Parts: sequence; structure tokens; C-alpha cells
Amino acid sequence: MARTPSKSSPKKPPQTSTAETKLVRELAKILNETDLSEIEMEKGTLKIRVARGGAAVMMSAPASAPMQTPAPSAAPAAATPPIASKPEAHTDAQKSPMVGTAYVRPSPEADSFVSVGDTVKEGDTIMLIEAMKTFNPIGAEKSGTILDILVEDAQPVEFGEPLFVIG
Amino acid sequence: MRYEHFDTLDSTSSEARRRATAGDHGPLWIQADSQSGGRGRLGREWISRRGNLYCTGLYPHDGPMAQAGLLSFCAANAVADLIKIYCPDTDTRLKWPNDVQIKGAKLAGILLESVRGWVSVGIGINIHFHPDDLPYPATHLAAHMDIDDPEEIPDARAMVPLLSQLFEQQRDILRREGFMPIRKAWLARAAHLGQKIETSSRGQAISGMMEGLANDGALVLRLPDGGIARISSGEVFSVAGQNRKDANAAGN
Repeated sequence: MARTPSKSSPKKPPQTSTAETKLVRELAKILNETDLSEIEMEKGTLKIRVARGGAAVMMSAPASAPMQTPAPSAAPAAATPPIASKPEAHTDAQKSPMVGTAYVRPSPEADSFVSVGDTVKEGDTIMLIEAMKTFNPIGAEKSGTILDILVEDAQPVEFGEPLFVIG
Repeated sequence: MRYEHFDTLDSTSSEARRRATAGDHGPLWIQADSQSGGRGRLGREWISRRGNLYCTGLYPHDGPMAQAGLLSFCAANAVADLIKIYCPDTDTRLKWPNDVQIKGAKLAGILLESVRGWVSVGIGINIHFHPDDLPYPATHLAAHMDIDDPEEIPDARAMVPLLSQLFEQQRDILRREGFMPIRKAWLARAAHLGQKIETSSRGQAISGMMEGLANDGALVLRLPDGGIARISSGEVFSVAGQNRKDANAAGN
């Protein structure tokens, strides 16, 4: 019979990390299920923030906390939408100037502002980002062709998250 | 203060956008007696028959895009201040981020648009009537005023100079002292503080206790497991009940 790993013995720091990793995974799952753009959680001296896109996971704890180095590398895959799994492809993407919800169409029934393959001029509205009931049209920073749209309608976005590619 | 009045427009915010696009970034207030295409959040129709207030303030905005959202709270505070003038004894509450409510019913809606160089603040206030076929409770100002004669119901046109002045006071405070005093004034009139609420975004719901307002205007929610969620976009519903029915179609 396999030995049950001790949960928080100070002599076995990797086990502690595993517990924290599990927590991050759970938070990431909640994040995906609820469509929130970020969740921050405090438990005792431990503080964990899970957010979509960008710097996906941030964990912090005071130096005095008995916690060992967390293993944040295990979490981003769960917290980040699938679309961000190829970030290297988005180096030319125009990025979100703010946290909020992205809308690719002016209203739910309307057509999208643009589609992949469309020719756009600098300043054309490509999508909207809303926060605090303030709608911010996101204009093309350059003229060209829409090569890719990296967010879905009504998707929460983080600051700096790639939105679309114009080539 | 420049102020322009129209008998009817598609929407005062659309007119503001046209002005801004043509190079006029305000300050300018635009009011229409009726709108043929009044809109709320997510393109929902905002009933715009004669009698109620439909107006938009247009202002230059050269700060970061995210900062325009803080004007949302300035506008909510300004409308609450305005309502207090007409109904001094009525408990006016603000539902995150900027719905103005009396007894849980919506009295006014606010929607902003921010583009590089300018921001528009669209404000609709129910004065003489409120639509009764809405999926959420609504109310109108006259119903809460101590008046006998319908002639005493305030005229929408007369409200604009007052409202614009109250908004500018809030905007000046924001520019001079930052968000903290605006946040404090908003929290003093916040609905649902310390109560269980539900937020909805993209048809998904998350519930928790409304803990407060973050420094960037995000709604702070205490989750059942003790965690904290910060929400910058979405609808808020009271779990207690009465305005819960707007789950899928909340106004503005």
C-alpha cells in the first residue's frame, strides 16, 4: 500500500508546494468556470492571485511564512484560455490597454466589427473593452489585414493580453 | 458650460460621438427630449419617450484608458446628489458600478464611452415615468417627490445645468485629489455593502459578499471559501431577491 504523503511537514517542502499547487489549480478552475478575469485569495499568511493571460499566476507570502517555494509553473496552463497557449505567435498582436471584458461586436445581435481577412485602416474600431460600464473602442494601431482575432466575444481580458493581429 | 438641446436624436451619446469625431471634445452637454435609438449596456434598448432625462456630457480625456472608468463613479455620485435635491428624505443607493436605485428599483442608468482624447458620459434619469415591461424593478423620480400638482414635477431640461455642475464637481475632485474621495462618497451610498450578491458575466454567475470597492473601481467580492474576487465588468444582482429576475436581461 502506498504511503500517504504528509501534507505539511516542514521536513518535506515539496509536499507543501504540491498542496499550494493544488489550490492554484482549483482557483484556476473556478476562474475558467466563472469567466472572471482574476481571483485573489488570502489564506492565513499566504496570498494567491490567479488571472487570465499575461502574468497568469502570482503568489506571494511574507518571508516569515513557513511556505516553501511555490510551483506556479503548474498553473498557467489551467488558468489561461487555450488561445494563449501559443504566445510566441502573437508577438505582433495589438494588446489590451486595460482589464475588462472584450466585445467583438457592438451588441449581441450585431455583426462583428471585423473578420479575419478584412482590410482595416488605422483607427478603425476592431473591438470594445468594457470595465465599470465604460466602453472603450479599441482602434487599429496600423492599417493592414486582420490576420487573427485572439479573443472571443464577451471574454474577460487582462492588461497587455494579445487581442488581434494586423499584418 | 456649453449646452445643446434637441427635440429628438437617435441618442445623445451618438451625437456626442459625432461631435468628438469631428474634433469637438467638449466640455459639452447634449440633451434630447426623446431618443429614437436610446441604448443601454450590450445594446439593450433604453426606452426614451418624452418626459424623462436623456443627456450626455462630452469631455476631453487624455489619461490612461482605464482611468475613464472612474468617471463612472463620478457620474453615479452626481446623479445621487441631484436626486437628493428633489427628494431629500429618500434613500438613494448606488448599485455597482453606477446604477442609481431607490428601494432596489432602478431610477437612472449611466453608460460611458471612452476614446483616445475624449470621454462621453450618457445619463438617463426616469423623471415622469418608468417603463413597466422591464425585466428588473424600475421607478421614477416623481413617485418619490412630495408633490400634489403634476406641474411641480421637474422638467428634464432644467435638470441638465444642475447635473452638469454636480458632475463637474466630482470630476474636479477626481482630477485634483484622485479616486479616494470619489470612492468614499460612492461607498457611503453603495447598495448591497456587506450583503450577499451575485455577479453575472457571459451568463455565468459567481456569488459572494460585497466587501467594497477597489482602488481601481473594481467590485470586491468575498467568496464563500474566504477568497477575494475583484470584478471589473459584469452585472450585479441582489441574492436577497427582488432584483434577481434581471439575471439575463438587466438594463443599461
